[in-house]
Formats: sequence, structure tokens, C-alpha cells
Amino acid sequence: MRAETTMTSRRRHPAQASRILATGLSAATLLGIVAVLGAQPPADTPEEPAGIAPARVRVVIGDPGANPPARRATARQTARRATARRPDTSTRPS
Amino acid sequence: MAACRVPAMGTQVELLAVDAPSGALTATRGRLADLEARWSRFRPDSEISTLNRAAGRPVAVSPETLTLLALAVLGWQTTGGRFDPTVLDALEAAGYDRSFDQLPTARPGADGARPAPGSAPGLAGIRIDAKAATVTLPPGIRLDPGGIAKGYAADLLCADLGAAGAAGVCVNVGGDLRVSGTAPQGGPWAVAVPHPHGGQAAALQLTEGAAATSSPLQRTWQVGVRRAHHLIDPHTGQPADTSILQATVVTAEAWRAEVAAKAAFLAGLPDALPLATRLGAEALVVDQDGRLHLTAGLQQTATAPLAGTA
Repeated sequence: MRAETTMTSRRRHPAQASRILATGLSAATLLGIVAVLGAQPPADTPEEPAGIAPARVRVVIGDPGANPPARRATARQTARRATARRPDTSTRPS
Repeated sequence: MAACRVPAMGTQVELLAVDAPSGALTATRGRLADLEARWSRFRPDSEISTLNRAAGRPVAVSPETLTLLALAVLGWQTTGGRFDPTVLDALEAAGYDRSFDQLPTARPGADGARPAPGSAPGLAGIRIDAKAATVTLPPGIRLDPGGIAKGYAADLLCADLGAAGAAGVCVNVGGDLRVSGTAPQGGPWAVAVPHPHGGQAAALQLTEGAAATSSPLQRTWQVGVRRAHHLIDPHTGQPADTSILQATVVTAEAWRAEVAAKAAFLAGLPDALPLATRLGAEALVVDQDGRLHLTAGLQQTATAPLAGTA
């Protein structure tokens, strides 16, 4: 069975005493899970915003890629870009 | 940068890892297959299907499924029931009764859909015993984890790749994505938000966090003369019709972004933006006329495409 991930090396979170995985989840979410399960959070649980601070996301309205390039690409660069598969980092509707 | 694209969870999954050790992506693909095998409602042997058949009795589940269902309850509570995974009966009644790639694009009206079962029952009666690692659904309730599983999978896989030593990670599960660390070119990850009328609505520059998008224009099918889609309003049990064409949410975790995007779409305007803020998220909403609406936090960071460029 997969080992359950510890939240920190020093403190044991109530979620760890169960089969809840802490992997990839924030302290705020773990506290929410603890509340769902009816357990009491520990008194020393750090407070953490539930979301993401606005400073860590910026938005550029429109399509930056639609701007004309500052310099004309060489034929070799154009060919390389055409054949390379671009990673998809779009949040398309799911 | 290591990258791969694999079909899973009824969509395309993109795994990107900067400076990842060899074998990390292979292990992540294995984890993805494992999660799909546990959570698919289309696989009779999945933990979700087993749970749906055993309503009223406790079912032993894996830590991943236990956590997924605890998150589902949390999402249901925090969105005031707008996110509700108990819409499975309604979803099937609307015609979404098999994997989407096997769904016929058009069905005769009499054959394609059953009468809507009414409002979804909600998750109030679910019992999650974390110590015994069991979950009990009330009789008559069946779950569709489709509105949260892809996001939580992105969270898990992103954490896995980070723990393996990658300096930057982007896990994109059909548009529900989670990023951490630095992008291949350094700096934040660039996340494109498509516009439902074509082209790109915006680009997000995201260092740590997640984004997800909901739209009734995707996963649609025809039933008689009526167009159906997968975003079920839990209050009516039918595909929702709101003032929103597309809702994109940015927040710390992908499960939360996926849930909040669905809830924002169902809330419609003007409620969608304050709802996203209450959920600790930022949102970019496209209304039926194609106009953009941003939460205050995104407005503060917004720039036009040419700003700051040579």
C-alpha cells in the first residue's frame, strides 16, 4: 500500500491519523477535510489563505501571441516551430 | 524539459516537468492510470462503481478515493450545493450514460434521454470513516466524481513530480491544471484561456497554483431537437442554462478550481464573481455576449497584451 504523506516532519496532523492523503493539498484544505470528518483541528495548526494570493497570478487580456514579432524569424526557426509539438498549458473547458 | 501527452479520464492529459529525474514521467503515468481505474464511473470494477452499487453498505476504499470523497463533501458544502457529485442519475437521464468518446452525437428524442429525476439528493447522508477507510452512501445515491476527479488528479500528480525532484511542473488534465515551480523558460507558467467565440480570451501567468474552466459548449450532445451538455444544475436535475458561456477559476489547488469553476458557471452573473472570491479564488468569466468579467484580484493584475513589450 502506498505510504501516506506526512504534512510536516515535526507535527502530526489529524488527517495523518486516518487514511486521508495530505499530498498536494494545502493546510486550509486539510482543515476543511478534518471538519468534514468531524475531528477537531489541533490548536497549533498554521493559518493559511484558502486561495492563491493575487500577486502570484497575473492576467494578460487578449492574445499576446497575436502580436507581431519584434524580429522576423529565420526560415530555420519557422520550420522548427512548425514541427515541434507545443505543450498544451491551456485551461480549455473540461 | 520532459513532456508527454496521454489519453486518460476521458480527455488528454499533458505532463510537463522541468529538470525531472529520468523515469519520473513514467511513474506519474502509472499513477494516473491507477487513479482512473479507481475513479471511473464507466469501469464496473472501479471503487466508485463498487460504491455506487453498494449504497447503504460500507465499502473499503483506497486513501486516494477516501480523500477525493472528503474533498467532494467539502466542495459541496463550500459552494452551497452548486457542486454536487450526486447528479449521476440526472446526468444519465440527460443522455450521458457512457464514456464521452462513445456517446453518439445525436439521438432520437424518445430514445436519447429519460425524464429528469429532479433535484440531486446531495451529500448530507454520506458517511466517511477515515480510520476504517470505508465510505457508505445512503441508499439510492450514486456518485459521479467527474466534476472534481481530474482536478484532484492534477494536484496529486503535480505533487508526485515535485517530490521526485522536478524544478517545475505543469499537469494539465483536460484543462484542469496545476503548476508549481518554474516554467521551462524560467519564471511563471503561461496558461492560455481560450475564448468561446474563438481565439484567446487571456493568458494567465501563474507561479504556483491551479486553473480550471467550465463551459456548456464542451461535452455536448443532441437529444431530439434539444442540445444537452454535462453541466447539470443540481436543483433542477437538468443541463443548466445560465448567463455564463465560460467560467475560468484560478486558485491554489486544482480540485478547488474545478469545483469553483462549475459553481461559478451555475451561479451565473453577477453572483459568480463574489462566489469565487468567497471560495478563495479568482475568476475570469465570459458572458453570453462574449464579454469578459474579472474578479477584483485579477483586475488589479490585468494588463493589455502590448503593455510592456517592445
